[in-house]
Amino acid sequence: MHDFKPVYIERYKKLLGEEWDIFKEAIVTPFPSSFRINTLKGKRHEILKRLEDKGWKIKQVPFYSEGFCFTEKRDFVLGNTLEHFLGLVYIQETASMIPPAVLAPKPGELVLDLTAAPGSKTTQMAAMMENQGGIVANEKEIGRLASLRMNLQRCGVLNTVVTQMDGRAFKIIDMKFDKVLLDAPCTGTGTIMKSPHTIKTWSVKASQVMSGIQKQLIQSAVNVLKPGGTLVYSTCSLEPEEDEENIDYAIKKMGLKMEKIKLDGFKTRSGITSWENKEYDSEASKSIRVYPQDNNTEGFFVAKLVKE
Amino acid sequence: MRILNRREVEVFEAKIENIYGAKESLREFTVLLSGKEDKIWIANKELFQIPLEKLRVNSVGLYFGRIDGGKLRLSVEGAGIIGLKAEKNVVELDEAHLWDFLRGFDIELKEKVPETKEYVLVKHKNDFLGIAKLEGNTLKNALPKSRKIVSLTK
Repeated sequence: MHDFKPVYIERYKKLLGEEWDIFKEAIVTPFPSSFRINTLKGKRHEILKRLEDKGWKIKQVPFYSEGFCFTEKRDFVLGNTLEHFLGLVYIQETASMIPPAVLAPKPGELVLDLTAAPGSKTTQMAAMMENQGGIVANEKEIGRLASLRMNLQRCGVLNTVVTQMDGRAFKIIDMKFDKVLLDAPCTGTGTIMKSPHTIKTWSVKASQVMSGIQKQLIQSAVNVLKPGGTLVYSTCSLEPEEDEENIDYAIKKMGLKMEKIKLDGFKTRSGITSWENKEYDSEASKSIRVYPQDNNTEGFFVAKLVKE
Repeated sequence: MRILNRREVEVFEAKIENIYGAKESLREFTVLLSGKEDKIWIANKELFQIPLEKLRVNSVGLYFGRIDGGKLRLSVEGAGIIGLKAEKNVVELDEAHLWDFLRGFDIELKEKVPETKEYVLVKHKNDFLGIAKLEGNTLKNALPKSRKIVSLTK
């Protein structure tokens, strides 16, 4: 049984209206396991053939050709399979595949993953870049570096340097990237099913504090982005303070331009443009909200911005 | 961390060729040494357009292996890269032994394999699983603890 705080219920009723009842069920309901095929370790069709031969019942994620989810209950643990050992598959929640898919890094580009651990999105980007070009995978927390390095290793990533820095330090670094992924640290209110403790730790104050840190990280991202470069900002939080408020900041204070996001076959909602007596830039509506009830995934927020 | 020059890489390649028969195995990578110059890393060459001196670097590229008491001890991924070109010192496991190997157990081989003091590459069908040390007909498991699988799903 999940006990939502009254203030949480009040906020989400305001955000979702009549959908609150559906949302509160969906946010705590287990969703189908999903994974990515790692094309750095094998060809897509060969890996798929192998999984098919083993009888895995899977279907492709609509917006990403290397993403799959199980269509039937499994009697095995994906992390204990030979395919996982070999790095042919990477366990990753469907919604978590969206930010790299939207950033769309290409072979030869220079990319910064500002908050990289545990490396799901870094390894996805390395595969999209075919191990060419370069990625700086940065992680502030030393305790999270081991999982990041382990995942890069298992996936056979050759185009990545791991750095251990406070992401905010990139605000004063003189170097430029074609693309930056800022999958920001957040309160995680989109991942309650996976992390039930979030219900207890979350507060409006926590979101506001996080929002301040996220704005500083946006400043860093903008500093190291080339003119014409793309920034994808994402969180697994559904709090407007951590999402559209920061996009409003990126547009108005940092001069970034929004780009529309299109994910074929995957239901998303437009970003909101007002919240609790605050009006956000109308362009914030080009960002997307992923609600758990729409696709049976985690909740997520993603925005695509360009530096002029 | 130090980047090896072309001549140093060639010396290293010669060592690999001598052990596994794999020719020019590192030609496409930048090769780096770290620690007491006993840990070997490989990376794509384009990565070095990033000005690393401006960053607090933790690691670069893929951990390829290390020199352990004068012997080349490859990582699972290093074994996979060399395995594609290897012509000797490769031991193939059957289905039953595969699961034991991945769980970290030593393997008693039924058939006699050529003796070597070097680490051998271990494979199952076309999959390279890592390395092991041969002691008589026993394959001494050298999988790192972090890669062992507690219970397997076939």
